Amino acid sequence: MTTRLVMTGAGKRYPHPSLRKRSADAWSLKDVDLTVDAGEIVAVVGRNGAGKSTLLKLAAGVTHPSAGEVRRARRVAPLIEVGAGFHPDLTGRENVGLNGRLLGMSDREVKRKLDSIVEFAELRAVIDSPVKTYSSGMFMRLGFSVAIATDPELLLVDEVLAVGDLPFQVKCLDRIREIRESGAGILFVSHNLAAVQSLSDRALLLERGEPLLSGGVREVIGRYHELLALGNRGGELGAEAGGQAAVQLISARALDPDGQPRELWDPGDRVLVELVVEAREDVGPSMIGATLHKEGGGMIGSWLGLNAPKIEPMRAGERRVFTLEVLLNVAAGGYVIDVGMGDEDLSVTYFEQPAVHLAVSTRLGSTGLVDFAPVLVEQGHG
Amino acid sequence: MTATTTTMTTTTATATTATTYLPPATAREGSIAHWGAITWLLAKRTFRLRYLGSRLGLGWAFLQPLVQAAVLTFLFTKVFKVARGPHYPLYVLTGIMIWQAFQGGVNSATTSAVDNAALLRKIPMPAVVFPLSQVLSVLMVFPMQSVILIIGAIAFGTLGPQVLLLPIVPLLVALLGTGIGCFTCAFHPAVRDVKFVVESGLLLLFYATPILYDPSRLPASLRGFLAINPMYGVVSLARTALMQQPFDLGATAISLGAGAVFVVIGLLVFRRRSTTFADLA
Repeated sequence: MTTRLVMTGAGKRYPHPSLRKRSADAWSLKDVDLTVDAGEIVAVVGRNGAGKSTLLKLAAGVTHPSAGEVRRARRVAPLIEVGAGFHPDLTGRENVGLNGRLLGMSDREVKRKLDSIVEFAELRAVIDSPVKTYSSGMFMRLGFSVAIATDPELLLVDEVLAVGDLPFQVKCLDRIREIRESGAGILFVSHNLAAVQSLSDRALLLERGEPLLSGGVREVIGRYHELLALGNRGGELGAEAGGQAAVQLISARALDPDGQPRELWDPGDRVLVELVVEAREDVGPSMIGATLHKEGGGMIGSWLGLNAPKIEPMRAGERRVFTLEVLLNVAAGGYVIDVGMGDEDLSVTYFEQPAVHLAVSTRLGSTGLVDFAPVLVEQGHG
Repeated sequence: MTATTTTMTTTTATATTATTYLPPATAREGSIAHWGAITWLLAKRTFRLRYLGSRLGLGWAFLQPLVQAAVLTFLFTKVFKVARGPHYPLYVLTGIMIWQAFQGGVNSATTSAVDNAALLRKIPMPAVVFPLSQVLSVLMVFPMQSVILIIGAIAFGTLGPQVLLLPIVPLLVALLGTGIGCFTCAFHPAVRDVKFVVESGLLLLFYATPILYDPSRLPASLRGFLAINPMYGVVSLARTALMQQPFDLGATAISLGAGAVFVVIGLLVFRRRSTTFADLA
């Protein structure tokens, strides 16, 4: 098996901008052991600031490791900030020329591939206009098209699904699979867990610059969800909501109707959101509510439990388990369910925070925002 | 998705079984010819962008120094009456054109790494292509400006066989500009003050170089400084080529020697310091 990327104890420590003394936690990335073999797609997941971008930069070789070693195949295509480095006043064609050369193509190669690059980016009509006249989607499409035209041995992909509209994204994913078939190793970073799930062979979970888990995709995504559910500062849920809140969310998990935890859901699934809360002081009757968000995006639905049974008063120190049943009629993607609790007349909110993260798979072919559950009910000869 | 359950091979195991040699990720791939071609491409791009969108385009490359030389000639021959000699307009034009190339090259080379941070953070490449292409781009106008200077020399009746020395002038500017530009560019991403230090330093050097004035009119106590100013040899050589000034071999040799030394030091320092550019720029 040919190896495309090897990281051995790789770490990166950035110099402190204010030139103050270096503290121990200045490491953006630490102790990463990672290999990517030819024909393999390895995903890197982690929360913002977990060190994913630093890892990609080390793999690309644009930054030197402060510790350990990074070795990789010679021809690399970094799909990082695609289009960055394009000059706004130059035409698409001119930018492709320079960018292609910088990515390692020869002059002849650029000329030979120019047509297919323009074709892939769907920019034939505007290729001789300055790129400052392009929309941001066109800009990124062009950047992506140049980078993947280089026949890389190692492809580094940062948030691939941020490029262009859905048909273009599908095209990109197909092209990435093609590049994999041709023997390239692919390292890819994404918040889109559905994409991670459907593309990758293996995954690595980073947390605060350190590898937390590496292994099978399902396992890693599951651990990532736990991490997301634990809130942003680590430790138990509710820790950041302030110790003063009268009722705190202790834990939350998403279960299927059989009561089993799952990493990947299908559109139309019923999800049981199990919440454990603890009262820190005596509280009267209270209410519960929930909101569904797209991961990193807007709200899809919000529910205030006006139709739900009243929650009985709780004594200090008392723990309760609530289970909300939710219908997941959303399309493929990453989703977050926020839950909140407050007193009866909503004058006090005890907590309101992300509780569970759900990855909804593309396998039923449902994309967009909602799953409108089409069913083919009839088929006949007209 | 069955393949996803295979656990990740540990690095040590893979490293020993890997048969192919993998170079360090930070090793720069590509031949000198490849990056040389890219330097040339970047220089052409910079050159084109400088005049892109202006009506007069390349005309500004001639008009700017001509206007400046005209103003200075008027100032020093008619207002202050300090400059003498019938050839003063050509004298000052020669100096201005050379100085502008040098100054433009050093200034833009200094900030070139930061200016191209978007590329440096993304694509593995030798950063030295940026200062080199900046110096190259300012020299691209030199052949065309030479035509103006030679026309001037014909007009003032000073054209002679010494004009064959003229091509050495851009070579000296290239050496000095590259050496100084790479050196300052090496420090600019980490210490942004370098840009201002360079600008101030160039202003000082402008007045320390006989561009507007005749060095023979300097007080003897200051004349010694000319010998250590590498730009003196450059303007002096240009005036030998165009105005039949006596050839100052010593000054030219100092320029050439300083240029060669600067290039070596500049490139070495640049290579050492450019490893952190992607983190700083």
